[in-house]
Amino acid sequence: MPQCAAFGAQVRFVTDLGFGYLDDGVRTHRLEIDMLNQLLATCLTERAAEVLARYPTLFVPVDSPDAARESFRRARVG
Amino acid sequence: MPGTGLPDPGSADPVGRHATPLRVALVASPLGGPPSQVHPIGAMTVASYLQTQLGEQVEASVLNFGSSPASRARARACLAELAPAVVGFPIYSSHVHEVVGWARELRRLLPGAVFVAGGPHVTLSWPGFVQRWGSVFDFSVSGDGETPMLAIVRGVLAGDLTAAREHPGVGWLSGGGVRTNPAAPPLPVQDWTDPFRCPVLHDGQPLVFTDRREGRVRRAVALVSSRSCPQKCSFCAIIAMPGGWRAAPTATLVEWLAAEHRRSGFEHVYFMDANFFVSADRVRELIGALADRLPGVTWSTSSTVGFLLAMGEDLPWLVERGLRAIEMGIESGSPEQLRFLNKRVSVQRNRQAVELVQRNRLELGLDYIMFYPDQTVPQLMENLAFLADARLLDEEYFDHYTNALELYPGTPVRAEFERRAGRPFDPDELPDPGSLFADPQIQRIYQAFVGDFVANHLPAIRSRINELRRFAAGPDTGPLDRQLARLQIFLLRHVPFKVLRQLCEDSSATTAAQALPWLAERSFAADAVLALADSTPLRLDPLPEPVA
Repeated sequence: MPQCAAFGAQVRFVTDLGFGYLDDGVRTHRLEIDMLNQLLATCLTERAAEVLARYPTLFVPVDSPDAARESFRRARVG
Repeated sequence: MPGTGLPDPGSADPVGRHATPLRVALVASPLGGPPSQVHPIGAMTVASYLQTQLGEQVEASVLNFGSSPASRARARACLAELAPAVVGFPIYSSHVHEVVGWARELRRLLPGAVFVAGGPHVTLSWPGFVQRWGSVFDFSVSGDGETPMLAIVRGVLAGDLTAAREHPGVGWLSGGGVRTNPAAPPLPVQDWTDPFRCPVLHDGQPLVFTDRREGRVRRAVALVSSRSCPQKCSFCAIIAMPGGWRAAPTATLVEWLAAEHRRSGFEHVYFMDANFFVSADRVRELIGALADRLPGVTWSTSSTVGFLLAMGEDLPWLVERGLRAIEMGIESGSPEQLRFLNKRVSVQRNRQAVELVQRNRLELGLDYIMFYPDQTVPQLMENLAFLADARLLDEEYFDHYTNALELYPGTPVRAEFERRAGRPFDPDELPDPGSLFADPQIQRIYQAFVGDFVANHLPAIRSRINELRRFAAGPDTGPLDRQLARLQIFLLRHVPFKVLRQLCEDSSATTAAQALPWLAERSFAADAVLALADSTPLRLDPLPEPVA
């Protein structure tokens, strides 16, 4: 069951040439890899609501920690 | 004298008393593509000057047609109907032979007209141009073209070109001998003329500016508010021409634009100056007056790094008053190359200027010379590293990857390489950059990148990016497909960087596909494109527990 479904759009991203390209459903953002690391890690903690307040279109679809781990580790799209 | 040009002495009226106005056409020659959306500003300036000075005695117009057979046919039909008595040709160093060929063709169409060559190449290769092409053009014009052209047209009106032949900046071939006068002095700025006074006949698309800040397309006009540049870059043809930096008075510029705005209702101004921000006081005065007179009109322009940084604190004020884009002469991320180009700027200052543009959410036009003759592989990699450091990996256009230093006539770099070669280059050609590289590794990289990748792969990548952009914006495209399309666009934009970087790192690679195997098949299937991502490992260990 995806978390934070109320926030709507799903986030998809790739990493390339040292940057993360994160599409929030409205547009694609370019983030420093460190910032992307921080953002994605934070999304899986109790600070998720704080992050989502800051990035209102942000939504990370994960069904389980393993799914998130796999998805984020390989930086796969979809 | 190749053309008859002059009216029959028995039928011509005295000056100013012709029954019908003398027609003058300035023909911006087709240069291997569609007509430029930016109309030929120099030709417009000269034509408008003639119209202002001679009033009802002349009808001056500018033609701006493409180079396709259909466009050429339209241009010929237009000229046949106009039947101009004087035809002017602005000539650029990159396309001399094309313009000469076009002039020869039109000579057959307009056998009685006086043909005049002008534009930067004539000035840069003066007086040799007259020697080489005086059999095609009755006159050639060096320096600011307004007063020499006026002297020639007055001579045609009078049926006596004696005074024109004495005028500064005029040259011609007489009995096989070259006759030239000293270059015309720069036209005083108070004599500059509203370039929009003359009609421009064209078959191209109207000029627009895409305003990404506001998500709309704006109707646009283009003009120059200043000429030349105070910098001394060793490769620049602009400063090889006579005259220092000079600018039109603010009140005059605003009046020109206000009058054109009443006619066309434009929404954006391209200031096509070589270096717009030379005088901060002038920029503040001009933009303040323009915003007061034409509120809501946006603008864009060009700058070198130092002058833009000097106005850094003004940028928010300028953005409030319509600034949307800056084309900037960064040129290189290599300290040695910047010295070679005599840019008198550091890599750090280049980076600061890019950051300034990005911080103010302006569009950046990136002038960048990726390849130059004395380059080494580490210096080429410095150019690539700068693009990454300055967050310039996602630019819409790819020219900054492919540009090589061009040796324009009259520039110090051209003189230096002619000295090394022990002979002058063809004065009407820009030498092939590929023939000038000293380092065999750079020759290899250039051939694989420009000769193979740019020629055989980049057009398809550009085309696919455009397809994906349209697909992502389509009303029927689902959210997932939109995201995937947008992410693919970024990955495809990175392909030139990856190919060039790998060619630098792999000294055995001689083709683009050896540098990036994806190019061998070049599949644009989504999975294949997404697999281009380098998927830098993300630091997520230990993974926190998800929110319950």
